[in-house]
Amino acid sequence: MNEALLDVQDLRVYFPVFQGFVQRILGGGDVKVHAVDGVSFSIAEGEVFGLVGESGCGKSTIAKTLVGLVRATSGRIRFREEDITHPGPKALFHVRERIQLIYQDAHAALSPAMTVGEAIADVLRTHGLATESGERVPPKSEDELRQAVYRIFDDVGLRPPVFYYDKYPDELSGGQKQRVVAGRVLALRPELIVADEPVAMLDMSVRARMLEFLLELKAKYNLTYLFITHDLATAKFMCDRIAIMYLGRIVEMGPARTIYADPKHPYTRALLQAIPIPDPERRTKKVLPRGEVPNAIWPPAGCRFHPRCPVALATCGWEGRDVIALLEERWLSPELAEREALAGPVEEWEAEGLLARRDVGKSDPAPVQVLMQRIVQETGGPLADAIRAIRVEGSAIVVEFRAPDPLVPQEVEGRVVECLLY
Amino acid sequence: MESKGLSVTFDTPDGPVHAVTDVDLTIEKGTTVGLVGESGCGKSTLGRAILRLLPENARISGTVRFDGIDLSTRSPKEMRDLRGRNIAMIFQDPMTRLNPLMRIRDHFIETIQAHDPGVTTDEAVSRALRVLADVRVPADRMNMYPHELSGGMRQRIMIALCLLFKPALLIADEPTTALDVILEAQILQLLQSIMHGYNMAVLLITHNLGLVAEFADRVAVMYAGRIAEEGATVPLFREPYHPYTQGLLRSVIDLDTTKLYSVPGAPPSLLGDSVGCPFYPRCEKRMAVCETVFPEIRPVGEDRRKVACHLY
Amino acid sequence: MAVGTARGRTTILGRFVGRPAGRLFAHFLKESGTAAGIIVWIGIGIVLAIIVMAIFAPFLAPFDPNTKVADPETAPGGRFVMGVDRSGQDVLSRIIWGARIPLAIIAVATTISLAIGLPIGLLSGFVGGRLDRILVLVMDSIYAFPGLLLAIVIAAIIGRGILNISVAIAIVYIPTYFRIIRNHVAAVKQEPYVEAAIALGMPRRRIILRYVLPNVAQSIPVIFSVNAADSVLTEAGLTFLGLGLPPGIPDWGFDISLNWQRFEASWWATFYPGLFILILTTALTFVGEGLNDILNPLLRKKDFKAKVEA
Repeated sequence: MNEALLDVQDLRVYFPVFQGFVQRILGGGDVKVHAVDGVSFSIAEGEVFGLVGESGCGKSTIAKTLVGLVRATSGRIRFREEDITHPGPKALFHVRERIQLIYQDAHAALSPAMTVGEAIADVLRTHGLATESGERVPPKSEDELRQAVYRIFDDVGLRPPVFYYDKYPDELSGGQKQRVVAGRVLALRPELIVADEPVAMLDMSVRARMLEFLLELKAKYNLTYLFITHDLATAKFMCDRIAIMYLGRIVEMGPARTIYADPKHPYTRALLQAIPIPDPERRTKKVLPRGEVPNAIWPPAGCRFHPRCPVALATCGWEGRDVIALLEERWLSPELAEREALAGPVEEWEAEGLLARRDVGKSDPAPVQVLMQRIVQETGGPLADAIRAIRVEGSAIVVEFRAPDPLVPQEVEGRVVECLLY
Repeated sequence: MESKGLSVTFDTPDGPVHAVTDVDLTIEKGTTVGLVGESGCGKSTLGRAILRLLPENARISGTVRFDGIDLSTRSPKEMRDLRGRNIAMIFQDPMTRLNPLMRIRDHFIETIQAHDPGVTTDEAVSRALRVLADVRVPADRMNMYPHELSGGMRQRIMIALCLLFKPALLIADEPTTALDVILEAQILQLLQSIMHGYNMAVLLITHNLGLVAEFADRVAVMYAGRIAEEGATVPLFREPYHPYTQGLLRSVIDLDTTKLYSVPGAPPSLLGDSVGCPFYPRCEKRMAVCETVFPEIRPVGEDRRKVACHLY
Repeated sequence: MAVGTARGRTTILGRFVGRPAGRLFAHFLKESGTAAGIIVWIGIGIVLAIIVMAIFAPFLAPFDPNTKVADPETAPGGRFVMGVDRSGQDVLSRIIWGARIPLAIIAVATTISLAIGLPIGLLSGFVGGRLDRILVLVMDSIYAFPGLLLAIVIAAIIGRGILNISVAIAIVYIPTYFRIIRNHVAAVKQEPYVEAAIALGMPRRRIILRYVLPNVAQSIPVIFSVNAADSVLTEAGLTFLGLGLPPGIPDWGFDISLNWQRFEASWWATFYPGLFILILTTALTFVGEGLNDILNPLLRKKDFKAKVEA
């Protein structure tokens, strides 16, 4: 059993939203982007751990937090038993010698005014050269430094090293730049490398080469990877264990083989289904989730995926916002919108947590109540089941939802899922 | 749409760059053609060449016929009318393609009135609403600014803007590359339903072979500015003839991949003139003749397959 | 760490400015044939010619500029190519000698502006926060004043003398350097490679000097030239108003102030100094604008190439 190299407990990273002066006075309260909202996982030494999800799910934020570019709002990060959640400057300097980051865009990660040789040399100058015993010593001469850089170029497959030393980033191809970035990171001899979409910007026909290269490096230097991607197919090939993220939380996590063989969480299933298969003879009808990923400032209640989930239950977290979204979608059809204009327009509805309210002013609320009841009945499904009552309160119609069941990660058939279906 | 011998060369300070060379491409009414290739192969340039949306330093030669009309004989004014009305184009990044200073409804009004000056604002708005319903965008988005909307919504609005005049051809240049996989699938489903509803032909330009397999009736594979292989989707995927197509299909990483494969080498520079087959340095099946003589594209086998390779 | 700093300032400067500057220079030479390149060369040529003229004034000027050599207000012709002014001095000689003051003042003023504006701009742009806000406020306030007016006020306060005028002018132009550098730095700071450098544990000072500054340095020659052009006018304005110079030293602006009232009688004494001010300003502007045309497309082209390749 391998010792856990990295252990993350209930990590939360929130970013403040820039609010205009007026909004701050009127709106009140601190509005935050819940980029990472309670994530826990651990990585064993020597494994490739995949963090998979779409953009905005928080995976890149986790990457930056681990390397100290972003500050964790709460939670705990431990590297080999040492707490590195909020490192001081000196501690941070040493953390960076153990955890490093490979970027998606290799070109952007290199300063255009510096040769690639210089870029690596600079790192060695700052941190010193690594010795056999694992210590770091300052280089004794320019020549020793240069030789060290040549060795690194050699290691990453940029041969002859002398040729590449004086090249500027814009003189190299995408794959070569990615190797330089890898070399620069390796100069620090890290133990854990966070690779943030390392092949997303490379052409299909060369991706395999880069992935093989990453695996070679792993074998050669005993590395552990946190492999971040949105591409489930690549993740399946590369990773030992994966965690699927949605809107700041992990929805399913476990050994890759287990999850791919039998995905449990509806979101995982949706992701797998959505991947276009390059085989025209296997065209399948896809059942896709509705809508898009909501913004992370006001995540949906309960299970965040519930508004889009094709198999949601009544207890998954339905709330005021959902009935308003229902009306909006319903009234996309102009005929329905006209017929049911009594209950509209959508802008007149307000959501407050489990309630949705529409004030009818001087008109009679009773017909609106009846109309809403009919609409809900027609719609059916978990949303309808989740409504406790549609009642009149003064001059307003109020739709009230039942409170959702608490959502806890469960262990199911060898992996962890956060879903009320289990 | 039918192109013959279409070539596009850019005059750059470093010399002429042959982005597209000698392309014969046919798109039949109501069908989807997938134009596949990797970055720098010229597929985007080809898409733009059809609409003559190229920068000043581009020189186009060859013919492009649309609905029987030779587009090179059209005046700039006629081309402008054609664009949006008969041929529409959607682009890769919906974030930057909408004017941030204009509300959505103004985008529609402007587009409609540009082609039909007589249309009143109210008429334009109702036409816009109808099209928005087709792409499943709620009406209240009309009064918003682009930055207030999500990426998927923006892409749908772009599609809606294209549908206003029921164009016969829609050129989609990497429409989903910047989008996540679920959104991509949704947009593609949308496009499929629209295609049938509007009887529209689509030229789907992408580097994603999966999309092409799901979506296209015919596929054209581009390499270094030329068409390497073209044919009906199912036979082409089942049995690719051109070594590049074979390499490309082998290197795709999908859920069934157990072994990684890359095509060795890198695409050639399109600067200056070249001789022989552009794939020669990377081809596993190369022969002596491939180095010096360019293989013209010719029909091979059935299903109107065409391949540019000396092996056939 | 020790290796880098042990070598002394000049080498560090050479190392981080040297190579990229070398490439820029090579590109610049390559672009010489273009319209922008020609303009730059013309500008440089003229400026150099004027500098040479100033240096070799004792050998080039036919007469002593402060001595009466002929009847006042003699028209141009014969021995007096540009005529004679109202004090009987040869205009040509005064033009030749008069180049020294403007050039000296410009050189000192722009150097001071750069030496102060650049580091403050770098710091402000990179550090941000309250310091940045305060500095921007201060600089914008200075910038809001019309240049000449501000220079007059400062010169009036600190008194006469070549150095004092230089300082006055320098202060007027510091905000320009500051703003442009600061904005450029704030933009570069967002770039992924700066973030990468931070992630690699680079100390702040190193990041500013080696990752930010070289990528910002391209704007400097342009600001420098354009500022210099503007300073010429400001300097001429100051000396015209009689501020700053000890009397008796030839200076184009000063000469205009001496002779403009006699324009109808001896237009040449006013015209030629004015013409040369114009020439020097225009030449410096050519250099600045031409450099701008050459260097900025270079940056854009590099970005374009990278995106196409990816």
